[in-house]
Amino acid sequence: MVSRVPQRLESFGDILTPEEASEPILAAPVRAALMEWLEEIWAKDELEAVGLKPRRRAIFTGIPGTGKTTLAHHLAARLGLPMLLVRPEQFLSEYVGASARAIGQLFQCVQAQETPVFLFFDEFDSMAAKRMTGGKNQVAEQDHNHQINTLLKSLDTLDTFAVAATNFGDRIDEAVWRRFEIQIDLAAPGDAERRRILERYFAPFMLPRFALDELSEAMATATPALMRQFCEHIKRQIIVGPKANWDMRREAVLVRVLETVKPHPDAGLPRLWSRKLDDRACAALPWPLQKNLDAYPEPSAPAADASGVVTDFKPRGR
Amino acid sequence: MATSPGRNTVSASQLQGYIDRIERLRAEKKQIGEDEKAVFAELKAAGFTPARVRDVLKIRDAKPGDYDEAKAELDMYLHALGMERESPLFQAVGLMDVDITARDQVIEAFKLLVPKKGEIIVKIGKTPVRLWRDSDGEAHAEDYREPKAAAQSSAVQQAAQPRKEVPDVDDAGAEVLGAEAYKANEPITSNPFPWDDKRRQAFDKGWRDASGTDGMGPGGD
Ligand SMILES: Nc1ncnc2c1ncn2[C@@H]1O[C@H](COP(=O)(O)OP(=O)(O)OP(=O)(O)O)[C@@H](O)[C@H]1O
Ligand SMILES: [Mg+2]
Repeated sequence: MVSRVPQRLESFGDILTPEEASEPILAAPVRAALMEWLEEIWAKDELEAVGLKPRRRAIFTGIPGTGKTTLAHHLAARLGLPMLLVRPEQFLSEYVGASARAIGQLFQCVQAQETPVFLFFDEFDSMAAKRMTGGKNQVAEQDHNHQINTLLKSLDTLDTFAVAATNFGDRIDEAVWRRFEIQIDLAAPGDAERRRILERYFAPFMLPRFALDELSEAMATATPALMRQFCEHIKRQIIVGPKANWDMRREAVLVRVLETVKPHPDAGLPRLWSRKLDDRACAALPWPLQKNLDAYPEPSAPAADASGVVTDFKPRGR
Repeated sequence: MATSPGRNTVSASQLQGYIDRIERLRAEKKQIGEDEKAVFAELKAAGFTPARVRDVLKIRDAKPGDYDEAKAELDMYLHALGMERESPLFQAVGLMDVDITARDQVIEAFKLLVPKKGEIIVKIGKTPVRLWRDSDGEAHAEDYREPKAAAQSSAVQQAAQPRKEVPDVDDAGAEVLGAEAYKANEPITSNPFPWDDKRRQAFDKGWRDASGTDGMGPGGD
């Protein structure tokens, strides 16, 4: 007979190991809050000696691509724990009681592990939406409320770390929200963070400071995910383009990149995407990109690009 | 031109015989069908569901092997679609969270399943239970202490297993290793100490102090 209870943790989501984690680039206050949490977890014994426990649950809110998943994974990796990335599809069922039961099974399965598992709930709003009292569809409402109650009870008994992420904090049931002792809003990155994000994802290529400044300014309101795509697509072009015989002049590359990497229509349009080549950040981008800052010609001299065409290269005074 | 077969040839009377027989059989079949309908009406009146009785008849008709196979296949399809039916056992399992007596019901239900030779070990609630039959064939249940590793998910175990060997150093040594890892351009998450080892924090601290950051990229500028 087919087993009806999925016992394996893997059946509830993906297990991510510490090795695969990377560190998110975040604003100072957020980093401070996270560092505080880590220190607290590591001071577990000292806290317990005075009858306190470290906080165990956090909820991250923020628009897609701001690093919620990346951050949770980083935390798990700092602690040295595997992270179970729970996706909500597993808990959606049109059958009465099935979702609540699956949630119960997940927590039981997590509790049964010898090594603690860092739990990460992605798109938590679809699992923990507010309880309903409309009375329109009683069966569905009761079922959902039952699911929330199971979730509350499970969270109360859970003795490992759990992080939930959502793009819609306001949709989360209040009682569930209260179970999360740390609430962190991951906003779009500020100026300094954007510069660091560009540096990270352009690496091994390096940009002179004025080019970074311009690009970072032109990308205000962009998410880290979008910036990463932009940088990586430029790097891909640099590698593939010459082999494929594409036009590798700066403008041609930028046009291709800006055409294929685009912000979500709901997110604000960063300046670079509204002005495109007319944006001064494009003119400030030295070309071809170098892996060493000394390899760029003196800022005042006109620079020759890959195809030998001289492009205007006038940094604004800074 | 040859004469075509007339009405009273031999073959014509033979055909008539066949037709008569078929017509008689058909009449009988109709009668039997009506009788069957009457039985169904009767059993319905007695409170049985005709459709289920038909299912039973179909199962009795089939070869036992064919039936088991079909049932396993059906279970598998339903399971794949996430719509498996709940037997009373599984309803009781579902209730276990809210009703502590449900656990006993589950154990009782499992007793029925214990084979003559062999045993079943099930985790019902927090504690696993071992079920077996004695020489008189009576089923028993007792709490079972499982070897811990059995419950481990292998992926978790692997994920939690540090890739490198755990260095043989004290706290201060771990801090030095953290600093060295930073200088060697290794990420802060390359920490070789397991999650429950105090030296893990020492390594983390060493890395942070050496970098002058919190381990989440360069400090603000
Ligand atoms: N703060 C950040 N610093 C560096 N890289 C980031 C940051 N945020 C996101 N990224 C990069 O962008 C990509 C998407 O990030 P991630 O999946 O963590 O976002 P998310 O907030 O979880 O999005 P979603 O709401 O869509 O799940 C990742 O590849 C990650 O490397
Ligand atoms: Mg995510």
